[in-house]
Amino acid sequence: MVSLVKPTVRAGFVALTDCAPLVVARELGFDERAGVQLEPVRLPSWSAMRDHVAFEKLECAHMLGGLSLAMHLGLSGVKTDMVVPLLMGRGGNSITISKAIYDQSLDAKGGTYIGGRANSASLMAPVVEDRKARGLPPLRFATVHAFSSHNYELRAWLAHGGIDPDKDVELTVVPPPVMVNALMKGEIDGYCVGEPWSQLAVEAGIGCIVATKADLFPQSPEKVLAFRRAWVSGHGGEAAAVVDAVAGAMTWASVPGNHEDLAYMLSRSEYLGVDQDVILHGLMCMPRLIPGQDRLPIRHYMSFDGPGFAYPHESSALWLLAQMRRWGQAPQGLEKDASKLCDPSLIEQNVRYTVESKFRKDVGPGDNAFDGINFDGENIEEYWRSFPIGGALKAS
Amino acid sequence: MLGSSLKILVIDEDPGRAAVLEGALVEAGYTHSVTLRTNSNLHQRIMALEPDVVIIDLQNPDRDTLESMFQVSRAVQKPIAMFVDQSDDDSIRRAVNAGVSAYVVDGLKKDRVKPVVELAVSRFESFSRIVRERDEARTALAERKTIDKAKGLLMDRRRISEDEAYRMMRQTAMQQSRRLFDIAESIITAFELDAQLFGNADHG
Repeated sequence: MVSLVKPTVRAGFVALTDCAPLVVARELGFDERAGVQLEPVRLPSWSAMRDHVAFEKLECAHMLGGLSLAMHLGLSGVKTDMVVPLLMGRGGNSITISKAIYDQSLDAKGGTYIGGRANSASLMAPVVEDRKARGLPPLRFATVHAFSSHNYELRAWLAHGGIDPDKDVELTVVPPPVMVNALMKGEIDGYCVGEPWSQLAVEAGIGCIVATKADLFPQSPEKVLAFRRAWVSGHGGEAAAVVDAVAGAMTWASVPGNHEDLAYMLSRSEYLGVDQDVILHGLMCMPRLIPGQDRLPIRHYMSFDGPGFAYPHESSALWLLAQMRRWGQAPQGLEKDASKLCDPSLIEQNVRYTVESKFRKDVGPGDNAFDGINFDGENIEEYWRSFPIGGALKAS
Repeated sequence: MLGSSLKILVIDEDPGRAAVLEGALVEAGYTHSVTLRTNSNLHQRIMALEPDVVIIDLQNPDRDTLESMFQVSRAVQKPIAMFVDQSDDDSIRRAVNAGVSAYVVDGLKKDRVKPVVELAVSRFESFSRIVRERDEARTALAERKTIDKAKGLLMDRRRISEDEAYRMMRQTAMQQSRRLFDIAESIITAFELDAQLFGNADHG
């Protein structure tokens, strides 16, 4: 006989629009239909998330792909064997600079700027140079964690514009929910963060979005569903049920007709506590980039759908490891260990997933990258060494 | 005293808890301890203080900023998370449960730091116990007020004694296996609804 009491699985999340699959799974009962009861637990920062997962206060989490890999490799906090059965969201990050720096950049360019968002760091380069010449402190930028895709996106974007992130600017870390506040108080001049914290700064009139993840690395890993491997080993059925619930919730969340309901759900104080329209504009891929200007449609700005993005490729972890190598965060020779992070077995055992576009296998994490540098998971050393800027460990 | 030369930085947004911990540290002979409540100028304060140990609430958003500072800054000696260099699994677990995280300058002897962390853990634990007890007391008081109000309504509308009103509620609670407080709330809601629908007329 089927037990009526479903096992409870604690799932951590940070207040971000892309925690939606966990929230939807719980609120709409995808979890109970799959045979578990999810208990979403909100955490204020990624370091708190890491430690709660490592010390078994959570079974699984909405997590930065890079952080799950860093835990797995012992590069952040206590080394913890992790497993990622699916990638949970796509895109959603933007690079925002303060209105003041944006205006200065435009002035330096004579009031006009022509060029795509992927190249917009070059717009800011004269401001960076000017500050250096005048002996002013460097611009300060924040990302959400050292091992975040945000850090890699911001750094790659700066480097592409000729700005060395380790020499020409100062980088720090601020958790997503307090990011807008830090910009408002002038503690930072810009940041890279996930929705709704980019839209919020624009709507508040204090920040301008100059590039989005979709402009930079549209296929690269973002948030993942991460488990402690030891828990999955003892609770295979429950882990499969969580994957099932989250995958179902992702499908629901990617239907445009559901976006208003989703924005309302996420806006509640126990989840994001942010105005539902601000959340909705991101979900619709129709963000406002500059205060006072019209909203713009941006393809793949953020979604829970899209060919192949959710499939747990070995190369997703290798792409992240390559970024860690480029920016001096990881020693050489961790490929083998890293390639064990993503585990498609839970996806492969469910026949339904094989027809879903998001689990297609023929799309790679480095596809359509803005820098045009081909990513090869077989040779990440060659990949990252081909960039002119980066490589604190290049000499080693 | 052995611990007195250690420079300890406590970062806590809760002024009450910070005061409790600060007092305990001083009492234990750690006179070089400093407490910060906000993140303003965290970087400069740390450079000036050069702490041997940093104690911070596990859930404090400043922790991420702190960690990144330790990772990149050459200006301060690199403290590392207490968890990273700890084989004593039970005490780490206790620290995480209490919500304490600690960063310790690399190379510092474990036995010098352990009492500091243990002190922080025990103060965090007792502080959250006090907060919990206070909240429970508040809830209990609020519940008793609700029950009294429901009793009063019953006495008034049904013209029965206090004892009878209480017995009636108790009996209903037992029959429905619900708490007395839940029954009291239902009674109040029912009377309020009644008043809204039919006015305040006494039709009891």
